Amino acid sequence: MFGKKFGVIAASVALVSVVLTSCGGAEVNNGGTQNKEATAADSKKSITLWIFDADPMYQATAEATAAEIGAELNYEYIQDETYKTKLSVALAANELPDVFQQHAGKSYRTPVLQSKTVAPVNDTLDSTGLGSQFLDNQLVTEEDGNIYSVPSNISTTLVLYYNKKLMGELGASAPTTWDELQALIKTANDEGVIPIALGGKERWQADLLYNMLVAREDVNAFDEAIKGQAKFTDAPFVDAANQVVTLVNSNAFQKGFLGSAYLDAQELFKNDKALMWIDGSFNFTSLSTAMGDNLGYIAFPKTGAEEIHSSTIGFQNAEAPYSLFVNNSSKNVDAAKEFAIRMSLKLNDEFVRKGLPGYAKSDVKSESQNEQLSAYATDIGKTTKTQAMWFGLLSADAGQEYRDLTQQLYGGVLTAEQFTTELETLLRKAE
Amino acid sequence: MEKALSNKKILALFLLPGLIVFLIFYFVPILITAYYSLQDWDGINPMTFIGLDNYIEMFTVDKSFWQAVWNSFAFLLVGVFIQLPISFALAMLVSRKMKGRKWFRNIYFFPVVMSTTMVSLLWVKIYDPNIGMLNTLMDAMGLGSWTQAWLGDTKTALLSVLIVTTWHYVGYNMLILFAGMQGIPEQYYEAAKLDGATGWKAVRYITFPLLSDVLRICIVLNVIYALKTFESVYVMTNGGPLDSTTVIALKMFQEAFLKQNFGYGSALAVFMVLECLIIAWVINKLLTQEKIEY
Repeated sequence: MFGKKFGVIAASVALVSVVLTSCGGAEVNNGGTQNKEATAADSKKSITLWIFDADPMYQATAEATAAEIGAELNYEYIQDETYKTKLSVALAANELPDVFQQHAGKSYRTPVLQSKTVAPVNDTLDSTGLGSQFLDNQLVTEEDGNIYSVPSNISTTLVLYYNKKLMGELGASAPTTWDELQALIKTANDEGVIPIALGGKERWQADLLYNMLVAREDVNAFDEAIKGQAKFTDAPFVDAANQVVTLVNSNAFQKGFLGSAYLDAQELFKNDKALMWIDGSFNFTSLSTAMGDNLGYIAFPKTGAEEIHSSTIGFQNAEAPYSLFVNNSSKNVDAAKEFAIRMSLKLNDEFVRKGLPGYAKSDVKSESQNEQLSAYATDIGKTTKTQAMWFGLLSADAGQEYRDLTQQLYGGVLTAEQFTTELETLLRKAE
Repeated sequence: MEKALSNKKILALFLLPGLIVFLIFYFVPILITAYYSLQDWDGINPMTFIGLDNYIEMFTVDKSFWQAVWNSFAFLLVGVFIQLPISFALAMLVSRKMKGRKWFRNIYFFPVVMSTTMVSLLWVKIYDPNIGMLNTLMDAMGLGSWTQAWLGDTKTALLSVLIVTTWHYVGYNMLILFAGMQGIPEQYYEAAKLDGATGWKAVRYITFPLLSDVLRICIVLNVIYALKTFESVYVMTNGGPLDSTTVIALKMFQEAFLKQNFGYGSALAVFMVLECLIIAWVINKLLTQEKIEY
């Protein structure tokens, strides 16, 4: 009855303008302004890039790539949580920048592909010969035979950071088992130190911790359950949920953690208020910059039957990695494609330089890194199985409902058994 | 010119551009949103007509919907029965001829000038249970047992947000009421004083009746603002913990843009529009009375 774009814009007027008086509306307008700017500077190839990763490496790499292909770069960093909303609106309204980064996971990748707003990059990969630089299976070929994205990050995993200064003051060492973790939580609480800072407001950090506890029980548990070969009410899920309950009841997290924003919780850790911080390995650079030698790293403790190197939680899977996409409505679509591919390869060089396993061939040599990053590079090399975060394997609505459910477990509304029963219902329906 | 302006057809012609703009950018989107509310649509793929299923889900299945309705009404009740009386009292105080009244007026109005996002972020820091000013002050005053995880506890989160919105907008109503009070001729009070009506009696028989129009506007504005509350909740709690602070506008945003349920989000938008219209109409009807002339 109505055209899609008209419909989305009309719906956005009713939904966004009434509600998002400062957030969404401004965001969409920003995108529009940038596109206009891009048109004005059409004589010199202009590329607008949206990035959610706070690592300064991204901006430096983007600027170097733009200089290499003679393009004018309009780089826009958007804080992670805001980015998710902004991109979602931009996708629906077809107001995308020339090139944009997208999170790993099906729940983020599928809407991008379904929107039909992104351009295949096969032709540029072939014509420039740069496609051969990527390692096997690192470029995702979709069902229609096209490649729509290039990687923008290596596979990052969930790790446990700790504050060395606080750990020293407590006379303790980083925990390697469930018992040691519990003992450390008690010691920290006794000394008035927050054991683990957790940003419960956005829900994802708590959700990933539960994923990790399940993986440590049985790394294949989720894959089997989601395929219908097992149930979400089986022992690994219940045991992990009970561990969450134990952590909450032993005051492992800061007071009011359900209302704490991720960045506020991170500040507690960085400012010597909290002993431990559970987060992605993608934060090594920013945390190292903020904390220097005070930052400690350890693989997440062995909390179940699995060994630490045989199970971990990763932020992406092979089908849905962190990616750079190109807007097929870009005024400079060819330049944008080349820009995305060359930027992806330059980012790969930076990962290799840090001693991390890249996704493409590189002539760059690994440089000596700080002790913690070296330890992580060694650990990740030993890891035999990485379970992709569940949220990334679910559709957007099922993923959000799953996170709501997880918050109920952390909030003490549901027991471990009630939680897993509801989990079974929810994820079986999503399947 | 006067002849032209008395011609209704010419007047209608002048009003037409504005009416067209209003219809295109306000009325038509609402109609289209109502149309989308009857669809199962993720905003990207083709939509499927599902009739009233979104509304049935909203009223019968979605547990957090009724929580959101109740929370929206909590904002409404606090806005009308707490914030407005405080604003009235402040307006009375700053309308008195006392030293520094302009200064007080500016102080009370100052929060209104600040953006909701800024105010909300400020209060998030104040409420922080670990490093926030409120708990620290309580500890220093020996009231450590009263400290709370203000925004992180389902028991205190809604109240904490309500306090902030009251603090933020109390000056706005105060200024409107103050302006209304300035329009009441002084001689009415002097005449009433001769008849022995001073203090509360003067307020009861002079200020209230002559301020009724202004009060009605304040009530309607407060109700509409309360039902549309979004930013403060989004920034301070994001509806949590456990939906304890969620409101209809936030839920609509989450459904449409996070869960990509544009159809369901549209149904919530339609509900919100109707809710605002009906309540505003009822209040107008209830509070409309014959204008008092002295």
